[in-house]
Amino acid sequence: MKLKSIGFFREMSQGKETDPSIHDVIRKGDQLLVEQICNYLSNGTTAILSPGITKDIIDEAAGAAGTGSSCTDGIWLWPDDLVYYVRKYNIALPDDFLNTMKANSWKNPGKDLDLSEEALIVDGTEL
Amino acid sequence: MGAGYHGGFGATKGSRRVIVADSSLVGNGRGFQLKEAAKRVKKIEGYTDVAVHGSPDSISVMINKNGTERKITLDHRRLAKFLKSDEGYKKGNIRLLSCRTGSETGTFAQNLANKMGVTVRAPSDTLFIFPNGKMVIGPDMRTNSGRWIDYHPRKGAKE
Repeated sequence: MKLKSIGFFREMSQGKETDPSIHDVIRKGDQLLVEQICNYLSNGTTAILSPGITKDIIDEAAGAAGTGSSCTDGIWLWPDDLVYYVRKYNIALPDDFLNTMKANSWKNPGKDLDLSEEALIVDGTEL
Repeated sequence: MGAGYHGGFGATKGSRRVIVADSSLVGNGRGFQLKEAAKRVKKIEGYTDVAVHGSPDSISVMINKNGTERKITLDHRRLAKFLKSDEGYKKGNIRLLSCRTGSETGTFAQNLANKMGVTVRAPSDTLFIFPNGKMVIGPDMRTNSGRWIDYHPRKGAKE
């Protein structure tokens, strides 16, 4: 399955230096869409599971943000804790990602995907 | 002694199983995905896999009570207590499918080995489990720079 990574930020433990900074998108999302976005993100399938708790990278004192896993809708791959940042900080997500959600009427088509027989190709690289 | 998968996946009231994922994660299905992922990894003879959200010095359980989420940190003693009373664990070595619990800067795996009196194998860095059972140990899912480390019980250690 070919996936495109999205919603990774350089401040995250598994973010890359070339990823955008989360500080540039805080409070820049559409507040009216937060619930729909969170619902979409929460209903993806865990593609890569990481059994560790991640901390809030904006306010470390806030504690846990989620897990280190990555989730998918069959098109995009995003960090499990992305939903936390959307809900708590209303971070803005890229238009391409939002357009996919809108095109799917905000219902995640990737819920309960069976990926067990799939090779994962993320951003053109097989993992 | 056979290898196996061990662990329940939620704070089920009355359960005798080890709590390996927080109740909120179980509630939206991610806890069960942890269970499924743990089943897919290649087993090692003589080791029981214990899947739990971890860190170098502790494991974490998230409890969602009345809509309020809080993290509960368990040390090796609490996990050992759970394991010893759990039907899924008989005896033998333990492999922790748990992020960074084998980190050389941490103490969790060594302390658990001392407490349980068995070898504990744990990842040195963050663990990533792929749908086909492949595991990567490293700072991110693309970088397999870590390793499994065996921690053997130390005689005389009071843990």
